[in-house]
Amino acid sequence: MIDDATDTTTDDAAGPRRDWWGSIEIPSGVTRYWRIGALSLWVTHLEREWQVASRWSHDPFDDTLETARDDVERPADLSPRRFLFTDSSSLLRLTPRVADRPVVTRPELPLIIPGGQSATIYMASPLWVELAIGSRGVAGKPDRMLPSFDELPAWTPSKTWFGDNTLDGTLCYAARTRARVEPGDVRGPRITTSALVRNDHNDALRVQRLALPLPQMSVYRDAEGQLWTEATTVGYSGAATGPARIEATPPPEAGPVTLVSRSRQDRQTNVLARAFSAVFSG
Amino acid sequence: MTIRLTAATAVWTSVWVKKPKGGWLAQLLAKDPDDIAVLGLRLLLFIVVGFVAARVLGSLVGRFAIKRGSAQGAMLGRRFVFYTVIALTGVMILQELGVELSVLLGAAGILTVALGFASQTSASNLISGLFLLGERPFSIGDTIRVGDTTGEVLSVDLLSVKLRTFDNLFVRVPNESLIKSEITNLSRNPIRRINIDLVLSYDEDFDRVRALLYALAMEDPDVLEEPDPIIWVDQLGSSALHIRYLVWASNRHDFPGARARVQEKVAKLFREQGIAVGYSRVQVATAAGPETEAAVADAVVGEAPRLR
Repeated sequence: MIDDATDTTTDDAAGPRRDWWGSIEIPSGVTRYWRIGALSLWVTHLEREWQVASRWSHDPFDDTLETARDDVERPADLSPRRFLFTDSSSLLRLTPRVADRPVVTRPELPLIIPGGQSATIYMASPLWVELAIGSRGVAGKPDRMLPSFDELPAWTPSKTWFGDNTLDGTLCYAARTRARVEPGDVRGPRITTSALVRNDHNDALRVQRLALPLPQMSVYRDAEGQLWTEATTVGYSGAATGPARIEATPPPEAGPVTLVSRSRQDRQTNVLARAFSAVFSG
Repeated sequence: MTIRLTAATAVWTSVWVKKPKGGWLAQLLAKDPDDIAVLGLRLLLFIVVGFVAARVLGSLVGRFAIKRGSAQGAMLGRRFVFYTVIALTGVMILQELGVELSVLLGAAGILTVALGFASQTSASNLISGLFLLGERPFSIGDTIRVGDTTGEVLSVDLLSVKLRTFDNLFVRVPNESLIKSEITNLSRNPIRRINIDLVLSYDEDFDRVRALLYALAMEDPDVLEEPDPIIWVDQLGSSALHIRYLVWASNRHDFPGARARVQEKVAKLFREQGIAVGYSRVQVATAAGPETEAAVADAVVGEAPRLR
């Protein structure tokens, strides 16, 4: 029922988890229900109209995943948003997207990297669910999808300020989970990003917080069904903030990966990727 | 420029139009048309062409300026070009009518003294406006507070600044008063602090309240996790503890809404957790004797009332 979201690959990775994203045919008059972490999502297809209703639980660590159920009624008190289209298309696609702002995370314990050493830090960031409709491609051609019509966060993270002072800086999201030094099992709808922090300086480096330009990263799926972004590398050479370099692929720990969704922003045109990444203090 | 243009027209006319009284075009282009209708038509032509040229040139300059700078600069450039072209057209029309400009300028010289006294305020506003444009304490679209007026800046002109208040009133503030008074730009910085003053009873466990308020700040999506929320005792009041609860929020997305929501949540938290708020207490003593005094004190003070 659910395909892999990418058009070019077949769903060869028969991992232990079934992906909640991908394309699904919803006939007119049918409602389907998704549970993606804290997000409960009801999508109804009517003639040339799609209705989307959503609700969030209060638990940010909710990792329930339910896919395209047809036995969950939309609550009567929940008013849907109505999207009207010129033509009727019955193919709905859900795509996991990265956050629309950079995400700041703090290590669970103060991490100290001595001079000349490097370490990999993993962070889990919240994801957004993008909805688009279209029609099946004929004779092995990729599906023809219309531009996305709605986007919902699996959890609305709280915001934080990342900058030297209250005048210059960037508004970011604060990750609910702490940064870790092992990849670990990221449960629920979250995307893992690895950051290789290299201390090129003589002094020890204390990593206080890590801000990663998530909007400039893409989402990949590993063989297990977990989501990853490209690996990043942060070099420290004495300055309080260091630029992050985004690699071409997820880290080797992720194993073989397939591309699920592309980045929100163009990497070359945005100066943020170069200008800021991590705050250190000696 | 105007004189040269007229001269050029005259030369062209004399070369091309052999007989001035030949056709309607010749009449129109002749140096001194003898028909009043022709003169009127020519003036009309001047007005139309001048107006169109002013508009086109103005919008061209505006479009160019908006690419290079701010909306404010674009508006100023557009207006400057527009009025300059209109003024030039006016001069040309006067010349066409045969008015001696030198005489007019001489008269203007005498008039200037009188005008100078009369337009003192306008001149002051004009100069203030130029300073204001140079200093740029705000630009179009910012929310500013001047005196008692808070509103969004609609336009920054040479004589005044136009504001739209939040109850949708149009306010014109003269530049002179802007230069003299304190202006608060509410929307310049990307983040802003929400200041909440709370009054706690002395009976309340302050550590517990601090932990609850801190948790509220961390969980609320409107409140920023950094800069850190500040919770401190501001004053040991005579009958209650005065607390300042200072949290940060984004100034780009509905700051007043965020402030209202946070205050609402604090009120709910106090109610749910049964946190005792402080009230001013008055102890009344009477000279009736120790027993009565104790009874009155009990009745008045009692236990700190709890919001429940």
